[in-house]
Amino acid sequence: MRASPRKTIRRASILLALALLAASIPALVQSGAGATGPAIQATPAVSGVADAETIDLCADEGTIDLPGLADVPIWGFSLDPGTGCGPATLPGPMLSVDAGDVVTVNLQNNLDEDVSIVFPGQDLAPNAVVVPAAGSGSYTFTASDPGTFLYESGTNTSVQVAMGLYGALVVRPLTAGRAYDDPAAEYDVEQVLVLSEIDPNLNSYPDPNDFDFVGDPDVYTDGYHPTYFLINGEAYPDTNPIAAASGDLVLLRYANAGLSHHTMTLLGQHQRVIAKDAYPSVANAYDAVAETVPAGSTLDTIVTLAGVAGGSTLPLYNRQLDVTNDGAYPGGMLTFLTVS
Amino acid sequence: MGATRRTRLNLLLAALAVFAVAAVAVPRSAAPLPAVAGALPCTNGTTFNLRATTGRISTPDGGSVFMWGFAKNPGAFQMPGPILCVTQGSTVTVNLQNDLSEPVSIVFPGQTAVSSSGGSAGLLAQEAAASGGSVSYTFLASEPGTYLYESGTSPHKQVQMGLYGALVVRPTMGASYAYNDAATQFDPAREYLLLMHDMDPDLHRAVERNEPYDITTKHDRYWTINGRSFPDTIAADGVAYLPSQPYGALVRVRPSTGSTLPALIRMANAGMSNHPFHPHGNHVRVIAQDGRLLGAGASLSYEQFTQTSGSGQTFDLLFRWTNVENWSTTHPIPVTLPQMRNLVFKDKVTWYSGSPYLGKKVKLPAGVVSFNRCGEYYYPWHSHALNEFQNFDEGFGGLATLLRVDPPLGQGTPPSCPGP
Repeated sequence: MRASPRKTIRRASILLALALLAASIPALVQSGAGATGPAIQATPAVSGVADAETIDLCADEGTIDLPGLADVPIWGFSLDPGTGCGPATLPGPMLSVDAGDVVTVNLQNNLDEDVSIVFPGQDLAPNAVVVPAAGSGSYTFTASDPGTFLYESGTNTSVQVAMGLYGALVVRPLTAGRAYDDPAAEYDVEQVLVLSEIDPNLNSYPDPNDFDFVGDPDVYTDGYHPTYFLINGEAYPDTNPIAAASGDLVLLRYANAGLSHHTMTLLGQHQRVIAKDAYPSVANAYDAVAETVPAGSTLDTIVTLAGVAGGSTLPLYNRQLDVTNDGAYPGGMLTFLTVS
Repeated sequence: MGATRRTRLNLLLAALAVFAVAAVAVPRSAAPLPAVAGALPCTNGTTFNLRATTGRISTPDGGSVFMWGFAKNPGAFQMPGPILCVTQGSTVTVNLQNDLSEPVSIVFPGQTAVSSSGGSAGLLAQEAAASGGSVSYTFLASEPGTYLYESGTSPHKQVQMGLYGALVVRPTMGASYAYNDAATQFDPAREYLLLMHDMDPDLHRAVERNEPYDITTKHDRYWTINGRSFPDTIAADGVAYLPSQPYGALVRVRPSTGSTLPALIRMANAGMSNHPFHPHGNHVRVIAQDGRLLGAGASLSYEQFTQTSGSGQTFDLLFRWTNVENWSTTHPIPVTLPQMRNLVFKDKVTWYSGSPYLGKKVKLPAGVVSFNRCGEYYYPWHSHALNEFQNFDEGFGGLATLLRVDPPLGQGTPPSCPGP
């Protein structure tokens, strides 16, 4: 790794939730107004000022541990806090900015091949900057609209995204404690849920670019065939429960970075779907037990815990029943909303 | 697979390759009529006794699949589980007896505050112990709509094996309404359930033989509506040759007039895949999802010609056949049977052989007087994931049924076709 030569401006409003921390605390849980869950940091509202936000990311090799399977190689993003690149994580750091911010993302590419970042939903020419191996580049855009977004590799995507080069980007509206500039989008507790899947055979391949995604067409399980299904890079039982209190409004920000659609279901209470792909349709919100988050899409739902007794535990899981780790149940995309 | 896979239904489905099914050979007296329009085959009540047990379902290609299912207790194995119909505001109790060799539970997606007694704690729900254990669930059916009930224990296995069913909560406004909203009124004689599922028979065989169950190898070969694969889906409720698959899926309507109430189609997906269900004839109006009306007065409802149902989702659809073709028995819709050269045959035995009788050319049997003796008209309704429109690689089959449009009352040959 190289020391960062870049000038950076860092502001407290950039929330960086490293998956490394997730092992010890529910790192991706943040709090809005009135939250009772663990807060990482409040985001100060900045009215009418286009702030400059600079985020230094690295693309690097790394490893993650899955249930029963240690040291799975990944390619992931990490944060350079000014002292060099941190370890790559899956998903990458969660980026949180305010609507209106002019965001600059610097990328130091420590992989052995070209990497770029795309920011779906942002006004930014895709693939404008491809960063060569051992090189660096920069992306600047105005985060004009609030919502839940992804960022992910835009180069050699079938391999690089499957290897782990993705993360969530949350753009916050002017009013804290809301997902969008609408009173009906208020929440007390929020949770980002980055959905993805892993085929360890790809990730463990000596050079993933040599991996045969098709395999033997006569063998259905050959080729690319994910067997681990992740929420924020974790498979049950390593997933973090979502803690909230009876009466809370819980905002679930789903972001599907995987290569498959994922239909997520909640038992015990409906989810109110308020936005898809960060396009709020609060007036047209509807209630769902299960909703599909297509690959590359995001979905915001609000769960009302009014009337849900403290002590309740509401299962939240993939209804395509990707609730296994390499076939073993329970596992996969399964966690719980624990109500205090 | 083909030559050994024979259908039992002597039906001509020649024109499925185009939009409309022109003709169905109907013996005058031999075969039972397709499902007569009528009320949903509900199991009504507030207390339901269910039993998790094993059985087999028949597939249209002559095979069968080993299943686990919820039966009535007492009662024989059936697929899917009984359609539980309750009235909004009822306190519902479901008593489960588990005759399987591993613990079983039931979850009720869309219901709140489900309490349980008996059994032991499981990950998603309280479980009934293997080989005779029991558990009871109680909840208030607070909101009307269409819901699933299904296993909450090793669901990747038990739901796949067939432990699922539908729950219908009727609104306080009355049984001819889907929700407590005048815009949801339907013809109670035309209420249908289309409960979808997808199956890999290799996994079922592994369970039957007590071999390892490896979900990572799942590769669907059969798709069902109400536990049946097409063309069994269009047979009547309770036909004798499908003893464990009591529910048909033929949707029957008459041409809509200004005063005609729509049919209500309760669609639900208990499978592990999302299924894009494609009705022909008219769009469906989607008025509710997962037991919740889409806006007051169904103001957020929308029309679709393909409604994708995600795993675990339900949709309520209102359907009218508006007869834009201006069809009547004196003004029949001209349907040209497709030219043989326009048909695709995968082998010598696929569906259309040039006769109404599959696989071999024979004359119409004695008693068959018309291909569509009431002058009725058919459209295929099917999964537009077209690989699901087959039975183990033989089409047409699988996740499909037909819409049957009967002539207006008083028309047709004979003039009074059965049904309302």
